[in-house]
Amino acid sequence: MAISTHLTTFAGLDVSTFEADQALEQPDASAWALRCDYDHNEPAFLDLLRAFANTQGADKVRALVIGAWDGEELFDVDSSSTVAALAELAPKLPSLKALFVGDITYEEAEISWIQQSDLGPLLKAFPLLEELGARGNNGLALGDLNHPNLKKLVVQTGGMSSSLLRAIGAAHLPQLEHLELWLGREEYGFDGDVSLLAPILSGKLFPKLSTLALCNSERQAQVLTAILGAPILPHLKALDISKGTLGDDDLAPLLEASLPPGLRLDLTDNYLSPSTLEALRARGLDVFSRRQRDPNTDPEDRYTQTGE
Amino acid sequence: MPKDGQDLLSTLRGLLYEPPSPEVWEQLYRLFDAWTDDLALREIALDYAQQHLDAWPDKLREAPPAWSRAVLDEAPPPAWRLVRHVSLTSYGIGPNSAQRLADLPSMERVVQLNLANCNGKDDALCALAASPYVSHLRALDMGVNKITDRGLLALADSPLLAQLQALDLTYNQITHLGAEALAKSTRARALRSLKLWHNNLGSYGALALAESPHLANLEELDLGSNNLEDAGARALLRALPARLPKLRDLNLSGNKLTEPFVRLFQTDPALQGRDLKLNLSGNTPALR
Repeated sequence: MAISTHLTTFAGLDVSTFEADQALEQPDASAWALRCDYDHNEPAFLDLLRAFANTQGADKVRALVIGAWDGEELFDVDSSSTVAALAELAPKLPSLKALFVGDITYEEAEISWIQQSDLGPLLKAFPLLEELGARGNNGLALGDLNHPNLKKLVVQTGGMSSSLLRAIGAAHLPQLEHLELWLGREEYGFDGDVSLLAPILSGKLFPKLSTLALCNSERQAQVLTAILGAPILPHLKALDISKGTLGDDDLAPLLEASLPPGLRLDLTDNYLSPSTLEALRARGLDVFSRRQRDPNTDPEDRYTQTGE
Repeated sequence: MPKDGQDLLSTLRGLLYEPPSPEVWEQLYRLFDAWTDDLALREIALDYAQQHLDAWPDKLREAPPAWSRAVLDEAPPPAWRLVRHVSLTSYGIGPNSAQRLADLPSMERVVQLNLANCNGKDDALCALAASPYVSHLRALDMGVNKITDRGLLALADSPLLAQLQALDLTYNQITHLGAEALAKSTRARALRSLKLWHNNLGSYGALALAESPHLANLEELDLGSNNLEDAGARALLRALPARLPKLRDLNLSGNKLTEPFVRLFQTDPALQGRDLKLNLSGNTPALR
């Protein structure tokens, strides 16, 4: 299932789309989205971005969503110019706490077609940033990932590169509480293995981490097994292993594991039967599952929710 | 308006009669940060605070980040002597800053030291192992660094090991050689918690730990993700009654134990009636 809608909320705020020449009423009450309309480049995205930053009230904006940065050639245009411009405009956005780069639906560009770039300059330009989200693996880098205040990091991909996973595994984010990684499939860029998650699972890398999502993986069973044996587990309040390829048999270790009391477990969009979900709930687990795919699907035919 | 020394002393008294908590600790160190006049009275106040804080848990007496950085970069603040727990996690320490830490007389009162994810190498552990100023250290966390057998050999031969009750070397680069050095060290007797998750001890490393006559006080042992095979786990199982009688928590997850052996392990008579939290998950070789 591809991503078909833009974000409607971000950083706890409703998303409002900014139009050129629009006044920012209550600039801190919305997450502001900037995007090119499909098939249109008027106004050019960088002009829209500069207009936004120069609008009265921009200094109070707390959350910003960057959508399609090109209306016509999005598959060929990476995010580097947008990143550079936004980093340059940082002094005009001193209140910015949350930023999402790449709120792009499959109709604009499939997740594996999105051309990202190194978002490291944004982390340098916004030292007070607390939340960063990004969609798309191609070209995506996060600099040296050394940031004193970042509390939430979300990276959505159809297939996450080993270089990106290694960079996250060497990060210095002492305030990080929430990490969400969509690991994806080999077919769309996942070229690592589960052992690359070890620094994250050590419980040492991010001492304040309590919400962990290692989801949308074609190796979801391996990911789950790695988590269950890892030092991070007792520190978690919420674990998201949704959007993957888990079947009923894969959950046997979970039924036997010693889990932290009150752990919230997101199993949405795997291949689990109602009886298995019920068995987990009967164990006292706080299981969240919006929907499941056919539990009788052959393991060879299971896919992540988001790939292409 | 700044408070004078008598006001600060009065505030201090009030705080020290509060139950121990992170909030009270924060108010205490902020009070001493603000105490820049009447330095003679401040010394008396520090003595007074120190006496009261002796009853506090060491973990609560954690140096605020600015103090920890100051220790590496310049002189520690006057109230440093109240600190018992230092965390420099996620703060890169090169060989020079590790040596600086080891050479600091003000480390003498530190009981817990967290140097996890600090880009630390063997030099950092060797410097600590040779330090004359870590005589009160009881817990050392150097997880997620680049410690190899060389570092652990230095620790095994150091008086520091004889004091440590908790050693955490999760996610480093230690092999059976480091484990053997630790197992042979008569200084390892105080260890109650040993965490070596995601190193490369292999079965020989597990065997060495299992046969050690010096690890009888261990209550927690984490050997998850260490390429252990059945022989290593079997040695640990056999060691449980005599060599590891106090063990309450054993993690052997993510190794290479075979399914029949895992079943055998779980039903072994040595475990029956024993209060042992055992994690054997993720031992199917194909899953690694």
